[in-house]
Amino acid sequence: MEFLVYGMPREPVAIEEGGASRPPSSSRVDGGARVPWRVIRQDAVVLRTNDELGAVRPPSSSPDADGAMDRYADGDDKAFAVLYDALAPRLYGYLVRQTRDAQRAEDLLQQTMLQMHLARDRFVRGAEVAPWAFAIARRLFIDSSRRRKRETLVVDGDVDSGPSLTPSADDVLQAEDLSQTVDQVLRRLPPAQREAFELLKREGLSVAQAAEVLGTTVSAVKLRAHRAYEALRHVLNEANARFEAEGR
Amino acid sequence: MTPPVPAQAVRERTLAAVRARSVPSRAAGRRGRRLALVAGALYLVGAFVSLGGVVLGSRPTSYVVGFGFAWGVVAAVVTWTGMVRGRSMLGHSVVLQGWAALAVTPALATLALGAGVAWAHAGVASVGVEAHASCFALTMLLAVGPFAATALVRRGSEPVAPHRVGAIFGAVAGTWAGLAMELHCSHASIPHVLFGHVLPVLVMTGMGFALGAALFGLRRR
Repeated sequence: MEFLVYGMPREPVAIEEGGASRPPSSSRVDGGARVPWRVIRQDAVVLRTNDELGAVRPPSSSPDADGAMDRYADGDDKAFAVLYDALAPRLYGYLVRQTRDAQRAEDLLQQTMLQMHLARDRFVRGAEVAPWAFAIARRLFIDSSRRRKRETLVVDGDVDSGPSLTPSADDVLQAEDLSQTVDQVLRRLPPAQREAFELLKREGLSVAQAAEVLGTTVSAVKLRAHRAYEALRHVLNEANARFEAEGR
Repeated sequence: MTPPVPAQAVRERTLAAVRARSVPSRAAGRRGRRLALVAGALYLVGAFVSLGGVVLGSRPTSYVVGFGFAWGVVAAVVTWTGMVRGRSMLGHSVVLQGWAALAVTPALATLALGAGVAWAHAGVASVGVEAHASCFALTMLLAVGPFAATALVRRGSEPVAPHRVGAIFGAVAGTWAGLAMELHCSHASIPHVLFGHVLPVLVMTGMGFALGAALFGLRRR
């Protein structure tokens, strides 16, 4: 197993965990220029450019959820279960990453869904549900953290840490090392940058949707995400050098 | 990486909680919201009419019409920015709303200065502080109804930036109340318009900002 890392990407890169594919060649075309890449390890963590993430990132909109919320707002009570099934896993994943506490994430998930239920009569026909739902979840998390007054941003351990791999123990160990390193880098980032990265790359929201959720401009989201990418790239370049020095 | 999945028990709990709390459908909710907004508007119009409606006094008609129209345009823009959601549950960008709330008072002050200068030949008489205070208080009183209506309509529903939403709603209420006072009050001196009619818009904006989280922020249920 090796990690695939583009050595000199010309645009922001993002982490895709558990990816298995390789770039089509030993270099890629980016705006007409060929950009070199280097192989570190494969199958555990793959850095890809934005363009290549289209096929693997979650959808930025959820047609099932949008339709279900519309039906629910119109009075179809059964549609709420559909809405829950369409949104809850994404919201829960987001909340687990924010809280690092499965039980608290479940509580916030329930609160988020309840808020959506209570806003049933106000739901704008044809509106996208996902950005709204993430905005509610984020707000509830922030309020809950303020109440607790002891939320730590850097937490040892990871509720959903590590790729689910079965190859050799050494490979798995190194993959987990890098994955945890990346996760630690994310946790050390300023919250604004981390949130922008997570909403864009892990939750699959568009830049405009992330800007709505975060209450800021599209430019600010791009900038924050870019800084997060830069921090990750720096760390992964260091990891690359370390692996090479170890003769892997 | 296998994404975490919420336990089935959470699903059951959530659906049970939802079943236990009845919420009207969109159609019923829309009727209630329209009623509240109409009530807020009627409060303002009713108070304006009961005060005596439009009073020209010594002011030129062109001043009242021109300044009133420009003020109305500002009020309409602020209302559109703050109240119209388009096809999004999060409405216009809170950045845009924040800037609109911040810009409305300077915009109205600039209009007041411009109108004062443009119609200076009309020879407006200066008025005392009592008149400023009276108009200030009346404008604030007029703004209460529309602000209460927006608070009723959008209470506990803003997840992103309730302070900024409160500020824009305060600005909306203050701007329309200020327009009503501008049409009613016969004094046209620049200091009077600034202190009696424009300053309440700033105060309402600040009040909306201060009350925003309590009125419009999400509440734990």
